[in-house]
Amino acid sequence: MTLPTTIKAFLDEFERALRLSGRRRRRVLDEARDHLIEASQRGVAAGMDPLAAESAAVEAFGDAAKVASRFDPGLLTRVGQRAAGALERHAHSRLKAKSDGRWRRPPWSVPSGRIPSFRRRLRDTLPLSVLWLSVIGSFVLWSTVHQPVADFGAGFPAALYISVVILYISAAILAPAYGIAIIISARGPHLKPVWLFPGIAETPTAKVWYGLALVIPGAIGWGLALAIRPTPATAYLLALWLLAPVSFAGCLDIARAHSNRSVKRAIIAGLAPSFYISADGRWWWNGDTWLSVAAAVPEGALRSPDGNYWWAGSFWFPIPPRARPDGRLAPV
Amino acid sequence: MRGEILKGHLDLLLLATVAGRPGHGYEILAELRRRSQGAFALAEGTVYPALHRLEAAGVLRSHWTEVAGRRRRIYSLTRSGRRELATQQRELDRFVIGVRAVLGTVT
Repeated sequence: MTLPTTIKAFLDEFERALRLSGRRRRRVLDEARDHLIEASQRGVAAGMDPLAAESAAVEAFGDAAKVASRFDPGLLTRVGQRAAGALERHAHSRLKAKSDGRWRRPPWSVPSGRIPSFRRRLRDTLPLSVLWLSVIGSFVLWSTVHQPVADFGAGFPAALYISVVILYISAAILAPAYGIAIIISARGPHLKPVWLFPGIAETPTAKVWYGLALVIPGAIGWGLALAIRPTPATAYLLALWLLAPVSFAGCLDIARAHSNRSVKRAIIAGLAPSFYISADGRWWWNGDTWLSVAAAVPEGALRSPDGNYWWAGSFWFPIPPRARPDGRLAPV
Repeated sequence: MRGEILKGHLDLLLLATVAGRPGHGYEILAELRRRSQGAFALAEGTVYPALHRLEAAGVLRSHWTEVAGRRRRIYSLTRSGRRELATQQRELDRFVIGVRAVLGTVT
């Protein structure tokens, strides 16, 4: 374990260990910073060397992880963390190494063209967009020219009214459902090919484009319909109308944060290391002997952007500490 | 003093300290140390989760001030905090009397 001796190093570690978010997180960090600076300044005032005073303040504050774990993250954060943990486990389970113990590429299929061109993405998603636009455009035209939606209950057929509401609700459910599917498959292999929508399974980007093709024309169409013919139910329909694009955008954001982009890109670029890892995923072969994945990092192993983890083909492992000449621990 | 003994009374100690004078975390801790004559050895950082918990329970309130360009959170006791402090003090008194009575019979 790394033992921070400076306030900055401690606060970095403390921030990483905190399970709080937003305003509470900033508040805890500000309080800790103020406390440490105050303690350090008093140490200096008492005649200590500034570095020694800083180190003493950090030591007296206590172990960063232990202190951080004592803050109650709150119900919403706890639920969110559990959901994220379940997603994480699901994603990892999709990336298990094969049983013969050899490190393998995760089962992502990257097409030969690798990153698809804009024209190709457009071609993939154009049919769906046109389909949606034509459906929604027809509805907007029809409702404008013939029977205004405002006439609900006054000659507007009940069956049609119900079907319109069902369409709204379907769009509001379908968009987040599709977004959740993108999150779940963000680290895993692509979706199986669907004959109806060729191209959807080709790349992660295609998945997103299909989603956008579903949401954007729908949002424009319904938005126009609501603007042209406001109804007594407009406020409720507006909420449903907003739900689809907003929830889909939220899902995309989560999927982007959740996806293994750095790993995927490294593999696409041919940067992934090749080394042997045991069937149980706990050991790797350095050419002479088996070493624990928790104790040593293979040379050239892929590291996470923050430098704290390395990729063992199945999981991210924390980078183990090593002893420094002065006996303290430092990250590898 | 052992951590587990202190842990059970930390809330009461913090309430009693803040009742004397509102202050920020470091000040509260220094006051606690001074009044206890250094009897309680606790990691300083552990005071903050306790302060936050007490604030969430409504017995403390806090506000920001700025000192030398740093944000500083000042804690003070609420009215229900004073009631809680009095209740906890009474309970502790009863507990101490009971423990002493038992120990007295042993020795």
